[in-house]
Amino acid sequence: MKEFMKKKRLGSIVFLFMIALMVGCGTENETTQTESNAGEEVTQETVNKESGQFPVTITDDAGREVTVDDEPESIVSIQASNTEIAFALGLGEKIIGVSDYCNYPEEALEKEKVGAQDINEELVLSLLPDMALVTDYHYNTHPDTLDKFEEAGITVIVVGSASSFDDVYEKIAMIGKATGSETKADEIIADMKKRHEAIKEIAAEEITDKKKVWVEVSPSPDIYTTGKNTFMHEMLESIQATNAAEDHDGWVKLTEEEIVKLNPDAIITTYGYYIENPSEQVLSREGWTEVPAIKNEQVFDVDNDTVTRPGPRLIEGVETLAELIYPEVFKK
Amino acid sequence: MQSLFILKFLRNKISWLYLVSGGFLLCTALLGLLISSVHIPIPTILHIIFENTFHLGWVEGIAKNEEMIIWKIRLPRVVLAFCVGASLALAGAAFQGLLRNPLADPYTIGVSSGASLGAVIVLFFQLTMIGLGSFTLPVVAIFGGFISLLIVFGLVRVSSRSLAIETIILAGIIVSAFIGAIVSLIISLSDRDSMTQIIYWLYGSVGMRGWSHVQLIIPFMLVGICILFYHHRELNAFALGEDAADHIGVNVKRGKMLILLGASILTGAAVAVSGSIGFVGLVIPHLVRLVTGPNHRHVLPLSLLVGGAFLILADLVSRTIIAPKELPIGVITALIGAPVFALLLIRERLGRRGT
Repeated sequence: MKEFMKKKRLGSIVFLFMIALMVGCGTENETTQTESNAGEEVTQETVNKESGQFPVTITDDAGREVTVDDEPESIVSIQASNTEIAFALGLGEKIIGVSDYCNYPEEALEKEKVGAQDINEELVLSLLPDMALVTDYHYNTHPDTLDKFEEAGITVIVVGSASSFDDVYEKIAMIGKATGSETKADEIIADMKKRHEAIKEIAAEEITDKKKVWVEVSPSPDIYTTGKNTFMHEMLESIQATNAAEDHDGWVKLTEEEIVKLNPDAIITTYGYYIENPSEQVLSREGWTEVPAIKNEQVFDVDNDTVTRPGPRLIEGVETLAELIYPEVFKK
Repeated sequence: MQSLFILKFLRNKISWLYLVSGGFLLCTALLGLLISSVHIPIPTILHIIFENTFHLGWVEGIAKNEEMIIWKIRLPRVVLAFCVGASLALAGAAFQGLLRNPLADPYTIGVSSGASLGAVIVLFFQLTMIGLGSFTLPVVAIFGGFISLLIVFGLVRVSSRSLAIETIILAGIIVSAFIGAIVSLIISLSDRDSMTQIIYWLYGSVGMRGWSHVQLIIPFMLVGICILFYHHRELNAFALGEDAADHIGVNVKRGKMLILLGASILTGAAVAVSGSIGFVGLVIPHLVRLVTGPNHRHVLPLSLLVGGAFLILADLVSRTIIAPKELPIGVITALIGAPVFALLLIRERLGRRGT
């Protein structure tokens, strides 16, 4: 398993190809889409792109084939990450409704709030957007609601959850294709990939002494951390740091004793947006004084949204992490 | 003294009470349809309802989305609120009558918890029973409620032989606590997505449901109503005590079993479509009983009407008070229900002292 994680980059590419092949047995549309997600140049795709023509058919993350007849003029996005992606794609003007938690970019705060896990159905129907970007949570728990939206003529696109950069590229590509902003989507993906590769290269070359990093996504007493299959884990791997919780999977809660025993070299907190002075809190914990991260005061807070939200700002998260953990290499 | 006089007066005019309750229900239903975070003109709303029920529309060119808001979202929501409130209040009335205890309600004697557990299991494991389809959820919820009721009665029987009233409540609390722990266990073992799903569901809500949920609850509701209405005489007899009921020729065991079954069906169906909504089954029958007196022939149907109306009102408050966001409806029912309940208790005591 560890071997696999080390070769994760290679592995994920192979994996994507396998998916592309498997899905290819289904429909042609899907094949082209997945391949373009993997960042491969597909000639068919570029033809379609240049003419920018609708209708387009995409397969959303619920596995449904959705045909978008016309370029959407108005969009409701009921998840913070999708809102960020849509704004990054330059669709800000078209967005007429966002979720209660959408806080980036600032323009999103001025949009109509249409709910979160529970959607305000009436409000969405009265806004009557051309397209609604919903999550797989909505798809699983409120299928009736999505049916109503579709009956009213709203194109519903289900965007699933993501736990890796490749997932995010896939989502950006899908939303880009569905909204007729494929070129922009490719640009964003290419830029993210380029910046991520650059960091990976520097890290691979210059970092010899790997630091062990402990991540906290919620403050004590319920200290949750990010194990494998999270963005944090992937980010730490790519900057040649060791995730102290790499033996665990997903978001897990560990006790103080276990954390102290892990003896991390650096601690990253992500809850600075709702707790004052998170670093001081960590530094003043009793019984932690001998932990290298505490002794050397290597406790930093990063913007939660850039390290957990599957959007275009993830790359900023990686860059910040790199600068905080290895300032001698990444801070110029 | 004067209020007692009024009470007596009203008791004689029981039809007035039906009229008032019916009017209250109609008013809340209309308010529920008219008021929401999205404003739609009243004539349009009336047109949509008449057009869809009797094909008697008179306005031309109604926007499709407005029609859907009223017909597919707001109306089913109001109807569902009525069904859930009516079922819970009726079940509460039956439990209170049967156990001769104003504290009895689907929640205090463990039926709701059992139904919740059944529903959580269906939601968590995504179960579908063969031949039941979408009815799996209410059937399992009813089953869960009934089983927990049997456990409660089993506990009572083991501990005290006769079905003593206080022991039933105590056993109900024990079973609820245990089931609550199991639900918490399932929640903590599940992944984050199912966790949010279950927790949201446990909050209780009649929003985001639609006609499919109304179709789920209606058949069970009708069966439950029939069973309970048919046994209103037995319920009256039980008010005198089980021995007395036996003496005046009531089949105590059978009557009790059927009433419990009917009330469990109502509770289970209500919990299955809306999650747990408390206080309706406790406060409404109590309130109705204070006004109408102890005759279950009137307590049952009036609880049904007032309970339904109350939940429509509670839902209306929950979705308008911090619009466009919504509060969980259970919060509203508890916030309205608990003080009213306290007030009733105090007034009853003061009244008793006065006479």
